Amino acid sequence: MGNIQVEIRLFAYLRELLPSESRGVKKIEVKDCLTIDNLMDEVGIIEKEIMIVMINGIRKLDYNESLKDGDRVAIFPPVGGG
Amino acid sequence: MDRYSRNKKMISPDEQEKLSESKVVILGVGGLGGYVVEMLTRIGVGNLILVDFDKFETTNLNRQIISREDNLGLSKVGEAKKRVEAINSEIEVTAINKRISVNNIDAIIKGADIVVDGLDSSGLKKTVERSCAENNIPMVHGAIGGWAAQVAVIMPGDFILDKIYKGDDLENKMGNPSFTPALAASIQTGEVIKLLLGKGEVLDKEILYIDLEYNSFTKLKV
Repeated sequence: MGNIQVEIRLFAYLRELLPSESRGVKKIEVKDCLTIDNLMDEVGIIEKEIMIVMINGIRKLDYNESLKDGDRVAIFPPVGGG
Repeated sequence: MDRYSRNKKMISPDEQEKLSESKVVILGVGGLGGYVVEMLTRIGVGNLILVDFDKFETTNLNRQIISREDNLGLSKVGEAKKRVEAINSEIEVTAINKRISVNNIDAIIKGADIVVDGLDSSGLKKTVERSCAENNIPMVHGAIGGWAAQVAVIMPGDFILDKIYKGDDLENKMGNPSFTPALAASIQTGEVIKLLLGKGEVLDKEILYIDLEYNSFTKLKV
């Protein structure tokens, strides 16, 4: 098993999980069997179930899905204030 | 009419008449809802139903346009109604001083052309989405948190909020500044006007997610 590269893009308060100079976007190398769930663990996202996860522009609800080389992963925390 | 002369280049006299005959329910007249009330009043939507159970307090002053130092402690809908009447006496405005629930929402929105969501509880927002579906009324959703805002047009049966709000009410981790509610409310108001007049394109089965800290505007097909 080799490694793959994915781009992770975090929004709103999730940006704080990446170094500030990254502005919420980072390319990272991960194992090629890594799932969305594993990736969120690696980045430090705790409340996974409330997030809107988009891979290459398509919403993903099954976090057991494995990532592929070149995937663009965007994670949005929904807001609810009025 | 001079009042609407500056609307004219984008809203024809017939369309202005259509707006004056339209009925919009605004749920919550705090951050989002206050601005929506202001804009719908000025543009000339003829029948506004305002719903909120709360009273203005000091912590509202940083963002809620209808709140002032001299109306703290007074009912939000009562004050919002006065503001509508002071700006545009042609508008028929009804203030409903009630907390929304599954038991009263159907009666509140009945007969509306559009329901605007200015609520601050994700659970209640989902209750409204279900009621709008059952009553066949489009819902214009908005929500904010810190630098982030989201807006969606939910046509009856789309159930967008069911797909993004899981479990309990979301905790607001990011606060409520003055400019994100104003921005989300402006986009919501634009969607209301397009829906009422059948103009342009409205958000369709998607959420417009805005993160002003880095100026990103993203449409999410959820």
